Amino acid sequence: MFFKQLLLLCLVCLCTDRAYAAEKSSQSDTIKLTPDTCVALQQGRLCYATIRIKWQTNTAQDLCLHAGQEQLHCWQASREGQLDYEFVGQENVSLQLIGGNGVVAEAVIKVNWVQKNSKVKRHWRLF
Amino acid sequence: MRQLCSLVLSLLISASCFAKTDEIEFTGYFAVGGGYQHALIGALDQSVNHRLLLNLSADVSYRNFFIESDERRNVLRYGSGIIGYHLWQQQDSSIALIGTGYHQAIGPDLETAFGKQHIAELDGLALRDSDFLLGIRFQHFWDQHYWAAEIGQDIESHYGQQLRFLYSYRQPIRNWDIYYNAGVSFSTAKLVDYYYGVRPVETMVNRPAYRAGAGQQIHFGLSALYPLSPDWLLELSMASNFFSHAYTNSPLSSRDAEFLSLVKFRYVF
Repeated sequence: MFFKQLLLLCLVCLCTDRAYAAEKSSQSDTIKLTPDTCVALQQGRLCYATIRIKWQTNTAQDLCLHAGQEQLHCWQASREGQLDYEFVGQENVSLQLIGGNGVVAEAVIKVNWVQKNSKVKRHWRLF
Repeated sequence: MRQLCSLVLSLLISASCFAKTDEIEFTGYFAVGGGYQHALIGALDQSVNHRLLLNLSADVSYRNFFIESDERRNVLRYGSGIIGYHLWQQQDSSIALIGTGYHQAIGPDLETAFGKQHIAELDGLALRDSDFLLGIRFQHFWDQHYWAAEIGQDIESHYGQQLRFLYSYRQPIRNWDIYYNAGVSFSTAKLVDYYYGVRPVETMVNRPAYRAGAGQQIHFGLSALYPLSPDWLLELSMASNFFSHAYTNSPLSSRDAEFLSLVKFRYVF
C-alpha cells in the first residue's frame, strides 16, 4: 500500500517536473514587443509605430523574422536578437520567428484606434 | 436660455431613449489640462493661467439632431459646444440650424468649474453674461479642407448678430492630426458694445465711458491631436485673435490681439 502511494507521488513529481520543463522551454523561445500595440485616431487609418522586437531561444540556430509574408531580418547561429521595426498597417500583424524546423516563436502587433467606424453612415468625422 | 437649451437637450436625450440604438452616435469626452492666455482684457488672463482646466463634452447625433464639441477647428471656442439640427446634408456639405455660445462672460465675479472667481481689476463693471446665438451654418468638406459660414442672433444677453467664416485644413502626419485654422468674424455694435463698452455708471479714474461700434476679428489657430491609447487623446492647440478698433479702443482692452494655448488630455468614452 505504502509502495503504491510512494510510486504515485513519484509519478506526480515527475509529471510536474516535465510540465515545468516544457513550460520553461516554451517560455524561453519568446518574442517581446515594445510597444505591442499601435493606436490610430480612426479605425481603418494607417497606424505608425516604431516597435522594438527582442527575441530569444533556448538553442543557437539560424532564424528569420517574418511579419505576415514579409521577411524582416535573418540571424545566423543566434540565441537572441533585436530589431527596431517601422510598423505601418491598418490591422493586426503576426510576427513569426522561423527556423529550420518551422515556427519557433510568435507574437502579434495589435492595431487599435480611438474612434471606431460609425454604425450609421456618418457625414462628419469627429477628429 | 440655458433652461431652453437644457430642455432641447432633454428632448434629444429622451428621444434617444426611444430610438433604435443604431441611430444614435455618442462619443463623450472628459478633458483635463492647462493653458496660457493673453486675453484682450488682461485681467481675464487669470481665468485660464495657472489653473487646472476641466471640461466635459460630447459629440452626439440622432437623426438630424446633433451636439458637437468641435474645438479643434476653432480653439477660441474652448468650452463651448454647438447644438443643432441638419436641415439638409450630403456626404460633403450640410446646412444646419445651430445654437452656440461665442463670447464668454466678463465681470468682476465669474463662475468657474472651481466656484466663483473674483477679478478685482474689473470691480465696478456690471456682469456681461455669456451669449447664446441661434443661427444657421453652411459647412463643406473637400478632401482635408473644411469651410464654414455661420450667421447668428443672440437671444440671451446682447441681442446682437454675428457673421463668421471659418477655414480649416487637416494634415495627417503619421498618427498625428494637425489642424490649421483661420477665420474672420463680423459683429454688430450691439454685441461689441455689450462686452467692451463702458457705461457712465461704470466709469473710474482710469476707465472712461466708451461706446463701441461694429467690429471685426481675425482668427488663426493650430491644433494637434495624438492618440495616446484607445481611450486617451493628447490635444495641443494655440490660437490668436486680432481685433478691430471697436474692440481695441475700449478702456477695458489691454492689447490689440489675444493669444491662447492649451494642453489637454482627453478621455474618450
